[in-house]
Amino acid sequence: MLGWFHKLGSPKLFFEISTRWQNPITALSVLVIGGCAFWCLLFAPADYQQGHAVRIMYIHVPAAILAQSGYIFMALCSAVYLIWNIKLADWAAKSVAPLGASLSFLVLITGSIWGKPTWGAWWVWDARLTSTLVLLLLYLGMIALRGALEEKGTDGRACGILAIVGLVNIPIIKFSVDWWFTLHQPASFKLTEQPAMPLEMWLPLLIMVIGYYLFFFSVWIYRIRNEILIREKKTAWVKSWAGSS
Amino acid sequence: MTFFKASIRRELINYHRKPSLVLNPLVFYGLVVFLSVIAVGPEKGQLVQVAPAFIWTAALLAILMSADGVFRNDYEDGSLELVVVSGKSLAVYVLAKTTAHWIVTVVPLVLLMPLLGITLFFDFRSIWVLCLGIVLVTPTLSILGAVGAAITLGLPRNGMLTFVLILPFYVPPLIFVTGMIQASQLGEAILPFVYWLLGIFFLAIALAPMVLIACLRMAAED
Amino acid sequence: MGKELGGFQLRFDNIESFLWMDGVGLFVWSSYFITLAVLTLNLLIPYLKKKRIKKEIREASEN
Repeated sequence: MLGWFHKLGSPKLFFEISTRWQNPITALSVLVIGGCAFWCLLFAPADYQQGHAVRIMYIHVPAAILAQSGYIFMALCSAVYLIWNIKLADWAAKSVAPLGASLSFLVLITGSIWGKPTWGAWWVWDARLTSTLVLLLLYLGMIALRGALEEKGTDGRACGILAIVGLVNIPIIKFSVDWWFTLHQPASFKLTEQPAMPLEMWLPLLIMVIGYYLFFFSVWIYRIRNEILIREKKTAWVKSWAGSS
Repeated sequence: MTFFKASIRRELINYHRKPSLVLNPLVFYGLVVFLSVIAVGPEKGQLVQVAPAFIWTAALLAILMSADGVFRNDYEDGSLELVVVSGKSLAVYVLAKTTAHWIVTVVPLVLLMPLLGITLFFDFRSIWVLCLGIVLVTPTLSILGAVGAAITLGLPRNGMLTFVLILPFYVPPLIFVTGMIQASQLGEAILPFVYWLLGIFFLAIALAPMVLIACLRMAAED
Repeated sequence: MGKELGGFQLRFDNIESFLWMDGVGLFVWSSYFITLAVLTLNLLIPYLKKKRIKKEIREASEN
């Protein structure tokens, strides 16, 4: 089991395997997201309260799910790096940060656009939006720390430690922000918690979430491959790869 | 225990020799509050409402700014390396460091609080709760600030970086301590907030030493 | 309500109502387009970076 683990930790092997997988995953994610977008725009029912504005949910909620699970994923990669000292895991963690930051940015933008027709305001200090804002700040901090330590070469361990500190803190932050929100604005209208969403609404949402996951992994693989190429550019196999195709 | 005592003693002597390390955060704190008052305007009703906000913002900025230097001297003069290789418990070392930092930055803040409270038209009960809040929340802020300082230790002069990294983690303590002040202003029970702040503090003091030790070892190695 | 397409209920009668969406069309469409832009950039940036790295490696090995 661990032998397999270490084998996949070899940059060359990961590069070779991902060569076969990256294009199918990318194509599939574009297909799923694109197809599902049509479904969400044309065929999904309008909400009885929000009308057609509910169609924004189908791109907002998956981005929120991915931004959060992306952070957990990044922290797990960092933990693998810190425990087993597998370099590839550090590059994997590094590849998540810009993607996660862009997704949480997307959550904030689509959330505020959704807020205008439903709440009547571009921004409401809603618990979800606030904790996503904190998540975006955590991702930005991670990117900043990477940038500062990159030349010294200690960026992996420092960022790994920071990611794990963040992982411990995220539930606390989320809880405290939820609590802060109810303290200030008790029982207001929530965006995503309608009583029992009908099948014809949650099914496209679920498919969209799957599409976003596929997209996440395809971009992640692209970024790791770039990282491998940069770090291993002196090796023979990278040179022959660059020369051949 | 003796190593803990010796480390704290050494820290306090260091702070005693460099009073600017103690005074600067305090002056900074006063200045931020003063500038916020200028920005808000001098009306009593408005000030009482928003003053807790900038008192807390100023407090966490001052603490974070001074925490940035907690390990820096030891790192630069090489004594950090000596501690790492000496085989003494690093956990005791980091706890002594943060305790000393907490004593020299927070005690003056608490002493300054009644004065500040009077100029901001707080009543005595509010001032008392404010002091209690400072005492309860600042240990957590100190520890988290030390984490930020330790992570960025290898960098020459990190300036804003520690702020960018650590300020998001200050959200929960800030929420609970401002909640406590509001509850006391509304005449509600403050005990739940005390428990929450203590809970966060215990969590921080249980987990942070591991993080700090890992960072210090990393800094000492290169 | 629009017609049925293979068991799915089409929610709009014509293209105008599809674009207008009872007044919230601008919000829905802008958020979909921003999402499209962000996702495309996410794919495009690593792709262009890969091309650049490849070129650099090739030039370095030729010299």
